[in-house]
Amino acid sequence: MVIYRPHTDLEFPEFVLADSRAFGDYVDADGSIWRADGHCSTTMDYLKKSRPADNSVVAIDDGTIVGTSAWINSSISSPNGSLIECGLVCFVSVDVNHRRQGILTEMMKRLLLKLDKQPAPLVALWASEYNIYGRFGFGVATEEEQISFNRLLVNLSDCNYVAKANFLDSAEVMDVAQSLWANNQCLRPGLPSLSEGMWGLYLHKSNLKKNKWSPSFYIKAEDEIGKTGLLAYRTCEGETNSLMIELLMSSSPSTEQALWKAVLSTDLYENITVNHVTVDSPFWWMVDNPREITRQKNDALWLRIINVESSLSSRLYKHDGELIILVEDKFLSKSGIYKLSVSNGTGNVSKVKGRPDISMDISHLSSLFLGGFSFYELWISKKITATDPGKIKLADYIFGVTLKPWCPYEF
Amino acid sequence: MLNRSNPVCFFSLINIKAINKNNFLDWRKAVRRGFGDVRDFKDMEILRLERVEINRLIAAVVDETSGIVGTGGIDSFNLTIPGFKSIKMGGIAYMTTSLTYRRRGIWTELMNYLHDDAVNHGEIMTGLWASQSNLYRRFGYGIGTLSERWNIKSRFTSIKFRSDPDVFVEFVEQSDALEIFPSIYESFRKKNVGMINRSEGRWRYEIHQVKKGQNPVFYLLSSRNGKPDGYLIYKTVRSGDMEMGSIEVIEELSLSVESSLHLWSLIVDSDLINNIVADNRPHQDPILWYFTNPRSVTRETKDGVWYKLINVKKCLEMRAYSTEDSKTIKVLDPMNLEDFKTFRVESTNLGASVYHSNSEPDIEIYYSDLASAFMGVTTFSLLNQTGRLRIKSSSVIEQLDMMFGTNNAWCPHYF
Repeated sequence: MVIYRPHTDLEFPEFVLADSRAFGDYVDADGSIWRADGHCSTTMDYLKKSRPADNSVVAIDDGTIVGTSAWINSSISSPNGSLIECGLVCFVSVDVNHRRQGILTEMMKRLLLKLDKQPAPLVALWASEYNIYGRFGFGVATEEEQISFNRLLVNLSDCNYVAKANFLDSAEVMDVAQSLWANNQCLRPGLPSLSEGMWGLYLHKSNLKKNKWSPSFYIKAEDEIGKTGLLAYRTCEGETNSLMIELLMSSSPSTEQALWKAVLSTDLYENITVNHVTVDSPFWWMVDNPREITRQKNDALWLRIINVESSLSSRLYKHDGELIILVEDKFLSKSGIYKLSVSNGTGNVSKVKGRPDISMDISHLSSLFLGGFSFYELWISKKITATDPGKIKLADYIFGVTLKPWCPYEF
Repeated sequence: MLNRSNPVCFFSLINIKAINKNNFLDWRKAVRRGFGDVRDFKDMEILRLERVEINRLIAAVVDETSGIVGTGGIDSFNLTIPGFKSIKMGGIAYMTTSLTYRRRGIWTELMNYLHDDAVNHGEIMTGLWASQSNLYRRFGYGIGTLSERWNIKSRFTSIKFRSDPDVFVEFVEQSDALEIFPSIYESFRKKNVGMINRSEGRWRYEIHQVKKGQNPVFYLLSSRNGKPDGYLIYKTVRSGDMEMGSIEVIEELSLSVESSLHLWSLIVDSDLINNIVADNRPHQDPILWYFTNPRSVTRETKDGVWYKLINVKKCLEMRAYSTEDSKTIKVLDPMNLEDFKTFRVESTNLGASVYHSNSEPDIEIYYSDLASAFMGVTTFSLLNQTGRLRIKSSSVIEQLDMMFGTNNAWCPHYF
């Protein structure tokens, strides 16, 4: 019989081993974790520091861990700059010999119910496969693009901002990254708060060679009023002379431009790939020849609202108004009708009875929550229903965001 | 005939001239040579009979030899703009300059000529599909629609939906397609920003184009409650009976999501097919919410039609706005910053009024960027990050975004 409980501190190596094996990674005797392509992705020590041990639900069969799941207590930036408590789910896996037995469903239910008792009304994750998490009430909350281009065919056009850019030593990166990240959390939804341990893990990975790619180089941009930007990239010399950007984040148009200018000045490297690009990146609009940029769109962060009342009253809104929303949450048996009244941008939410203006599944409310999608998109797709189109327009008016949600950190 | 009695002479030996039936074939050969191919006589005849308005075609002609060294022309269209009004738009096409006559200003003169022609025809916008994306911004064109190229690994995904008993999908012959599909297209056009009309002749021309090559073309019609409601045109490519093939979706348009789902599910669930390519899908296609595994759908975002606001005042008057507001907009030509115009736009729930203004502008913007914002394909916030806007205050950006906010424009018609 499979039992479910948090793993103990002593079981951490077995927990990591079970998770790594499920993802096809190899853990050596020193605790280093190796990817199938032969690069060391991280070590057990760094993983351990990135989250507390008791935030987990593991499945144990006959004394062996056969399913893993865990979360990091954190918060996430919501529209208009507020931070909302959010569990960041990670290490989700089931042993290949124990699949199709309901273990993942049971772990997810227990994990979500545990988090429901904590202050976090939201849960977020990166999905290893697309078709797993919708049934648990998760919805795609942020999309991102991978862009690629030949540097020789693209120039910035008519950009008038001024900022300087300089290389940073890896020891200097942490401070710059942390403050830039916090600054961006005020500007843009979707960015989780990262602990020292998570930053440590990120920089540790970033400073390791990644298969054929060099350890990361870092460039900091700074404008006249002290706004900053950070670029992290790896290089690969050889037949392709490629450059891969893993992070390009700025806090002002001038620093954004300075970083792209730096990218376009990397003379020895022609083929540029940029990962984790926000869907509203200005880069495509900045260049003289946008067709040369291949933009491929993907799902990124998935979100799950556990507590509708608390979530909707935690975020701020762009405009005032009132909506009655029916939310179906079959997985947690928490369906209900909620009245959202927004006054001066603050939401007041209560459970009500009566005819809803808009009806939807919890996964769709989760997709809408950060502003990554519009009510209109979901309505014309017939994924949500409304008593009249005016309610959809009103909902988009109330929930509108200036910048699209974005999360360039995979946890 | 072009309403221009005295063609521009920019080199002593080259003039821009109107095309007539006598030199049409030479003109067409020159166009295709510019694009690096050769067309047969039948092809050119179909173009002449079904597509072009011969009096709107022009050529740059060398006086001494009468040789054509530059080509261009306009197809007349109606374009649906935000608010769903239909306006007259000149569709610029056939633009080439002979390899042997480049970098002499021929292209610029051809463009200027066509813009004058659009004005003379009462067209307040011009649009084009750019062969390269670095050519037209200097003429005031901005990206006005987005498109997505899909590559679907169809064996790894399907479309999950509840079948609608009121929807019936069937194959139809080409002749039936030509009779039925245009009315579906026209109904769709009226309700979707960025769409342009397609004449009967143009339908015949498009079908002729699709049928070129060896791969068979199929026409699927979806009817809902007995009425035509959607169609899908596709080609299959298979190299042998034992091989998995691929499908190229030429065009799918539906008046309801239900029809769209039924049509796409037939294609995605096709046996003997490995992958499906669709070259120009809308940016926010409802179908995307129904794939069981959207990661099997590779989506590349691309520029679609580029637009120029020929008559800025009229365009701004004709458009609908999402909020009641008023803003003063100074529009700049990147080639000549001295040549600017300033407009005051006042939108109320009764419509918009626009007039020339001498007031301090709330925003300074290039023609090309205004065209993109006009069609709603980008926001002022995003443009502001490029460093090309000058604004009076940051609140102006948000107010303009609210004012110009609209749903994504899309144009499936390549011209």
